[in-house]
Amino acid sequence: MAISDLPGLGQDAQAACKPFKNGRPFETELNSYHNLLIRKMNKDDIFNIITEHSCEVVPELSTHSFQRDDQLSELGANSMDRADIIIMTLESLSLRIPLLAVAKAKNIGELTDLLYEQLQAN
Amino acid sequence: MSSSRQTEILITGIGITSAIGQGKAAFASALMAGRQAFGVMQRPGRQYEGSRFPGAEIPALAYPEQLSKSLLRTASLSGQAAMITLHEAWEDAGLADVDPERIGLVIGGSNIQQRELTQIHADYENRIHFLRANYGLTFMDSDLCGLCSEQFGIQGFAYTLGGASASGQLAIIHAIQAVQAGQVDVCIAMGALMDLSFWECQGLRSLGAMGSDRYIEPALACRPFDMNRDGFIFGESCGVVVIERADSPRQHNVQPYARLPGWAITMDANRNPNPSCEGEVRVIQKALQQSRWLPKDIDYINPHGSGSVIGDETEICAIKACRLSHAYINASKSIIGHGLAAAGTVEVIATLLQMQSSCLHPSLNLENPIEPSCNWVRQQPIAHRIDNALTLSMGFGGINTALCVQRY
Repeated sequence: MAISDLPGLGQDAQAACKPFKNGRPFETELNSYHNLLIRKMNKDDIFNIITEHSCEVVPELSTHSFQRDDQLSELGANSMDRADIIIMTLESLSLRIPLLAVAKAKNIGELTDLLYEQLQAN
Repeated sequence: MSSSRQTEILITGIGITSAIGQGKAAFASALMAGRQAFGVMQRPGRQYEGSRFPGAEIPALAYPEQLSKSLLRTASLSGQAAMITLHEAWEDAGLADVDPERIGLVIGGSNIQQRELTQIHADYENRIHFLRANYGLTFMDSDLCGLCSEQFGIQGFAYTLGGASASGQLAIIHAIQAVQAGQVDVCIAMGALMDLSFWECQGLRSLGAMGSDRYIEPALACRPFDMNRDGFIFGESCGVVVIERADSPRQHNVQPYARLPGWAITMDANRNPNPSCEGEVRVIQKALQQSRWLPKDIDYINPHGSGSVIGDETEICAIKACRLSHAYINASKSIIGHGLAAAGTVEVIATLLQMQSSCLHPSLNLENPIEPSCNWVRQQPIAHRIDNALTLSMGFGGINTALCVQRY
């Protein structure tokens, strides 16, 4: 299976995949594919990743209807929980940035915006 | 150490989590039936390629609904066992109405989460940048103090202390001293679940302390005081006892399990793992002296009895030297395995449950006792009313502890 066989890639992505077709291990191609999909994420995708990890860390939130102006601290996430949620989100986004880069976010919406900016810049 | 008659010390609650049963009823039942749970250990991080370390592992923890899911999420196996076991003891002693500032917690054990840490290191080796923030808190043993104090609202004090395999009994002694000194009215002593990784298993085996692979059937490997023993066999466990003064301000609405009239700690002044008969004799004599007991008063001994070649011999040397050969003696570790940090607390609980049921549990694999003149409980349980029991714990680094337990 080559990376070009994977579904969901537009023309830009197909073009970006070309250099990977020369016998690179599938895992490497898959990582490239993963990174490519991440770069294509919009703010809703990032918002959803944050809320998924929030539910993972604070199981009581599984029935909560998340809004952009929700504050994790007010949803019951303590400082350690919040740090875990952000690090889990950064890992899902393969984004290696210092936590300080998103420290000024006051709510989930602002966090989403900051992560989106970082994703575009990286 | 001196005990005053006015400040009688009581045990008013217990909790137990072990490979042979969770909760005092299941634990007592397995103990009396001699129902062990040894096998080749399967928990991730317990074996390396080619190893077959035997031991007894808790099959699955049952979580009381009252425990915080948020706390449990980031709690290690040791932390979860601590919360679950303390919950049982808390309910058992009826501590809900006690002033939280008058409750203390002493957790026996150090370096107790090694397997969990080894697993995390391996998991994040290539992605350390994304190491979870909670690691910064949970890698410390004292996280168990945080977990338990938050869950139960304990506001007196909470700390961990280490005394190798005597940690559990050391925690009880510190709890006694805290209530005796009036620091708190209720002090909870815990022997923490010591979660060994394959590194510790191999180290303990290399040291000659942990039993070998020579028994293909793991259930045969654990044989304290038997001629064919060759080391201890690990068993996961966590024990909690609640200590109070008889004249504590709170109204006792529970029947105490026992009195604790005497205790002692001695050191051999020896860093190494080899025990000392002289040191063990001293600790027994000091505990008896404090209890104002004569050797003849003791009718049951719950020994350290790990299955160590030299450790068991040394302990028998001390028991004989103290003229205690008449007392019944069995080996709880032959059924539970050696809980290391937890052992001292768990074995006090085993003593209390035998006292309560007037029945002594069997000793597994005790086919040829190293000292025939001792009063062994062997393959079958024995009906016996314990009035005065002596429990012993010893640890690497030359620590010896003894605790006298009297029927209430």
